[in-house]
Amino acid sequence: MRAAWTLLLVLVGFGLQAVSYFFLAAPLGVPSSPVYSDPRLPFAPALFILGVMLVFLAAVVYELLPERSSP
Amino acid sequence: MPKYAMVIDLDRCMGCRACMEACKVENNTPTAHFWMYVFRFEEGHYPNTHVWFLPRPCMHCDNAPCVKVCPVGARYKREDGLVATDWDRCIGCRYCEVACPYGVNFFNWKDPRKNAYLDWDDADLRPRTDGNSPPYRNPDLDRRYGKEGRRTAGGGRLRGVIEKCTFCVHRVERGLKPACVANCPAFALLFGDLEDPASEVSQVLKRKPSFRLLEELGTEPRVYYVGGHPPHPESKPVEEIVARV
Repeated sequence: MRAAWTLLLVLVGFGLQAVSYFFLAAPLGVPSSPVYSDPRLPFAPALFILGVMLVFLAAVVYELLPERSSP
Repeated sequence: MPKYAMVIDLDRCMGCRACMEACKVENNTPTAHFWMYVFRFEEGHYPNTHVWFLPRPCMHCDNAPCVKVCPVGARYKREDGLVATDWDRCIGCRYCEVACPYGVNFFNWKDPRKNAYLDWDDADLRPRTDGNSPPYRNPDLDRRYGKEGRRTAGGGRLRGVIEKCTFCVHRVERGLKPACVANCPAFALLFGDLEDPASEVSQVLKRKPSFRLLEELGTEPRVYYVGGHPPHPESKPVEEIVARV
């Protein structure tokens, strides 16, 4: 159970990082307009940071959730 | 829509640092905060030495790393090219300070009730002012600017926020030049609209070869230097540059 939760958190965290970095933050490449640096979605960096936090939280969840008790 | 830029003529700069002082007084920045800083470099060996000066405001980059990393949208790029900081939104995380390769961001530790330059009630100042000078605070610094209507002018207002050069947005929006440009006695600093071919900055950039600091990083700075050359390993800072806390 705890392994599943941990894996889920890791996947969601990395997914959030990838999506926010590549699709929601400021575009990569050469400036094309004066507001080139502004993220395409406001608070995209906050989503990236949230992704990082979720990945680290996965370790905490793994440590805190009880192991399945053996019969 | 204007495209504001600054041109700094290194052949004219004599290192008087009037721009630094003008910036502090205009923007009411805390002690030891220099939004505009004039570096002093020395090159060569005695007796063939050469001292030169490099004014460094915020570069207001088109590809600004500080804007990209701000998690709360406090640092943003305006359509006229100014990189602004909304003091109301800033949470003081310092990501912009880490991201900026030019070191132009300052974290404000100051007690906002103490105005370093304008607080005439300060106990240290009172013997000199004799209570004759009225307290003064530039009301322009508290107004909202840009079509976004956000508070982006001046500094030293809130403890725990990041502050940097604003290109004196409160003056630029009234058609004035930034304080550093207006106060340079050698006319080494120029400010204007790159979209206007008749503007002083466009004319100078057309006439003289220019460079921008750390161009290789792809930040696309809006501050151009003419005359002189970028600092290189032979350029030794005259003063020790101490890291800020």
